[in-house]
Amino acid sequence: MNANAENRNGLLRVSDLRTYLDVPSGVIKAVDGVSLEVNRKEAVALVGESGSGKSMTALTIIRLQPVVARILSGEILLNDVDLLTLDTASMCDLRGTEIAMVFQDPMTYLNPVMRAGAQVAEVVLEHQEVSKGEARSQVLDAFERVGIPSPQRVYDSYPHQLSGGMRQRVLIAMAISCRPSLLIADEPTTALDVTIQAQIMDLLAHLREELQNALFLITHDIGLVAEHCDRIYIMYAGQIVEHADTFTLFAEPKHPYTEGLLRSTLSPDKRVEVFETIEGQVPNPTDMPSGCRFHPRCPHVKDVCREESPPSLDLGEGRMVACWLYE
Amino acid sequence: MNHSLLQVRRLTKHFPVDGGWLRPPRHVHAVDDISFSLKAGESFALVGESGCGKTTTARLLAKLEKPDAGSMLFDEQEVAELSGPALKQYNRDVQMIFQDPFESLNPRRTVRAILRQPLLNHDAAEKGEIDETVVGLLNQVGMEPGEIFMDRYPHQLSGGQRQRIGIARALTLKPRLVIADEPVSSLDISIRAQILNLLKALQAQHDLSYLFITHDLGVVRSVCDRVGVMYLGEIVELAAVESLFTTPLHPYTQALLSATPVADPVKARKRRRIILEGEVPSALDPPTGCRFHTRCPYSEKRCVEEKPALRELHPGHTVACHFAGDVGVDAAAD
Repeated sequence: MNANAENRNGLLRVSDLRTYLDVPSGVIKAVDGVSLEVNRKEAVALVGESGSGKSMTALTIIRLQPVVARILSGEILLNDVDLLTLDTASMCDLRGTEIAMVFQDPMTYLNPVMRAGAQVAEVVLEHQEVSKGEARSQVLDAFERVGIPSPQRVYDSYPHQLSGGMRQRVLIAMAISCRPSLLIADEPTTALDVTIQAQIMDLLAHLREELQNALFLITHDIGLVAEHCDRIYIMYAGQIVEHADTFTLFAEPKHPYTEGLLRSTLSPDKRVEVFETIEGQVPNPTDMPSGCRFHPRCPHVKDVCREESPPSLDLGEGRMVACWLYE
Repeated sequence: MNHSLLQVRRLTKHFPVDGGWLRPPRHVHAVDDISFSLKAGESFALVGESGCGKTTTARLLAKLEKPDAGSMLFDEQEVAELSGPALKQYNRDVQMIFQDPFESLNPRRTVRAILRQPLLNHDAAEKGEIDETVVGLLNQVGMEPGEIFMDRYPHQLSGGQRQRIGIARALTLKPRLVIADEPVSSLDISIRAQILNLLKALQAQHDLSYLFITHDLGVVRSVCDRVGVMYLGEIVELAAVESLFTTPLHPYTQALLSATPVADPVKARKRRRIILEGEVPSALDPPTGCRFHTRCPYSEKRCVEEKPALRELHPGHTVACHFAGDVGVDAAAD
């Protein structure tokens, strides 16, 4: 850990983050002791199924978690500044300039009664001392950079006049308009068709080369990650269960959940007659199993798994797994 | 024995869109002159992106829409002309599974009520045996023991369980053809594999034919026997599944395949990627000639002017492209 603290490339360091949600039926431990790191210029993925807490992790990092959320513990260091200690105004200053986010459904995050260009210009005006005219030309630049074919027309369009792919490009333009060093993308292509998904992922890779930002990709699609990310965190029921670089993770997954996830992912490169599955289903978030949260579905379950939650084991070379099998 | 269970010929459906004062009404070309057939016991996939007409095709077959032209023969009978008992039999023989198990189950009815309804409508079980039949269905779709799920409401079930109910409902009347419209795309990966295994097992058990409507080529390769690729209301390529995946002939199919994520970092980074320019044009005013020419990397003057006909390049593998099979177009398939 110490070596990492001195890592000059370190950009984001989250440690022991806990975000709990108070709901009528109890407490949802959405994020329960998550630690992760993103280095400068790196593409890192956080992979999990619905309800695993991956989006809540991202929202907490950028401090946009819902009002029912309580952050119980943790540190979110961005350039050695703990985001959790910042007041709202300083956090607002950082959003856009240092850290920005792209969401799954671009329609929900764009104001439907405001022209697309004006919404992006608003971000520029908020963060930079520029005139309206300059902001406009910066936005048009950003539009061009994200591959919008007719920037002028899109600038004056309302969101409903744009296609899904185009809206996502507007949102990406907004996110990069002030050149953040960290771009968080939460399922940025899930709502899009595959050929448009390929365009957007390609765009995110290009932008990373051009603007040298880091990408923190939140997704359920392990196939997408295989192609586009350097390192992967696997999340299950609010906790990180495994971490490795992409090639190692795919070649030799350690955690039984990761293994199951990889085996049940359908890929167009081979035909499978009977799919291997992970039996059962994701646990009820207000009533997590004791011990290891994966134990009711795990094929290798032992007694200790039912009673005690497994430690995060350091396997060397940056690999981490939280599983009793390797203790 | 190996006859076509379903034969679709030159099926067309255009939806009128109101023009306005002095503006002529226009039409969305949802399905345009498509033909394919499905053998008994076979799984056929219609693949394409949103707006390509695959769901409209499913709805036409389920008689939820009326076609404008073309024919659909089920067991050699014209579907549009069915009436009386023959129509009722068709409605039993052809069942549908929907994408979103939340929206396709009535939230105010219990599992028991949902699964009883088709049996009652079609007098398909003796009154005293209905509950037993329903429990049997639940067990078949892996919800064991069925008794404990009978009185639950859809909101008390997980997404995977709801989809199982949707499947059980489709099976109540012992259908011969099941139309599955994106049956797994709203499910998590670990649940998706469970449901697909179930669909495969049920197919073997009941000798079902499937028409899969999907955008996910990963699912198609492992689940289906033959595939039709749709683009803007038309079928552009039709082939056996292995043939399509190993030698895709249409530039759109090649692009679609190259855009589908491969869950293997080594292969994913080695393969040649084709990123299509632009977006699918409006179905209100589809491009002339080949409808794909606006985005096709090999487009030439001929593609703009002349609509390519479906040609059989390999046995059972047809494609609608002027240049498919040419050196340049084939090279992209690696």
